[in-house]
Amino acid sequence: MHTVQVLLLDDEPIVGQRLKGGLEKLGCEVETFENPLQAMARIAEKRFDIVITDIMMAEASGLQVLEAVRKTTPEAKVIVITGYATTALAREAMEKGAYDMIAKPFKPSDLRALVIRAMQDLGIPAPPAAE
Amino acid sequence: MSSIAIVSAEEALGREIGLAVASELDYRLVTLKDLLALTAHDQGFPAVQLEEIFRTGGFWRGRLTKKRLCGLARLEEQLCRLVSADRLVFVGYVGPELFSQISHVLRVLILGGKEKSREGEAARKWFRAVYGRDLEDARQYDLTVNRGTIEKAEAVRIIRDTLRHHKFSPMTYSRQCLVNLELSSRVKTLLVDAFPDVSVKAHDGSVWVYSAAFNRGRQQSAAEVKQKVLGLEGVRYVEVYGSRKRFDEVACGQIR
Repeated sequence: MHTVQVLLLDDEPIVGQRLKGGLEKLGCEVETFENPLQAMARIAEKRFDIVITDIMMAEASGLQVLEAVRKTTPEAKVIVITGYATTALAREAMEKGAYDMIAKPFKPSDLRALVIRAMQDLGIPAPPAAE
Repeated sequence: MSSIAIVSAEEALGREIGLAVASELDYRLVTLKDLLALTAHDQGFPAVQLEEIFRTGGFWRGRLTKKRLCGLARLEEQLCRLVSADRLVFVGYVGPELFSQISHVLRVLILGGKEKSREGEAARKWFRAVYGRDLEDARQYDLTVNRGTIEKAEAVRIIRDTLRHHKFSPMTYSRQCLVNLELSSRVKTLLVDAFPDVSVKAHDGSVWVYSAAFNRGRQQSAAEVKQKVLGLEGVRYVEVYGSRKRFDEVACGQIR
């Protein structure tokens, strides 16, 4: 059975720490990053099914990460999480190919629900406990 | 699903395109007139008072009178409910602030008509007085169609194709925005009769309320309002402000 590969990028370490366990419970293999440049380097060498990225980061924006994913793995689902959500940003992210966008703060269960939907759209059945 | 807000100062022009687009996409068409009837029916608000909102002379010192502010709050609440139901084509010039906050609503301005009608002039004047800007300022819309140069069928095709852009698709964030707007509109309707200057922001069950009436010395009414708002479905937490500046700092700091 295919293990869902997830890359989780947020420059606040607490976000990755808080979300990783919940995603692993869904059967995902999760790699967390705090630096977008390191995340993009990893994206260039490994195929991820789902990429979850913050937008506002010092070294590079989440939209750049989104573009990098679209180039290397166009079928991957990119979920944008941001504390600076606006209509304009939401539309830009969607136009660049984001799968979905969620505003911070959100409940871990909201993100898990989104990941389950992304898994289903990728044709990967969600674990029974998550249904 | 996405929705479409069609704005035109010339009512017949907007309705013509709205009807054709709704039929093409199998969406529900609601005109301003329908919105008034639905609001009167669903909220038990006097239809006459809703119609009066749009009559010229409904202003006092350049602002809508209290009665009309109360009616407008009801219309905006109704509009939130309609957009929440998806697949809507709304034709009318109320709620621009609502639509600008929902990324999956395509905002279309229809221009045209060789001559400007008297009703059209009244609509432009009303819009400027209520929202403080020009109804036909294209910067507030995603798409502007000039019916003077574009045929109806072509206009419908352009609107349909624009709506297909991924950026107008609903997403978790835009749905969250809609839920927050729906809650703030319900709170506003609850309070506007007693506090016509009320402003409300909501986020995930937290509600921030402003009225000059809650300034110092009026803690009693602020506490009562807090209790009243907490009784509404979906409200978990309420803060009440008598200072506009403080409200803007706190509420708008939470909701960008």
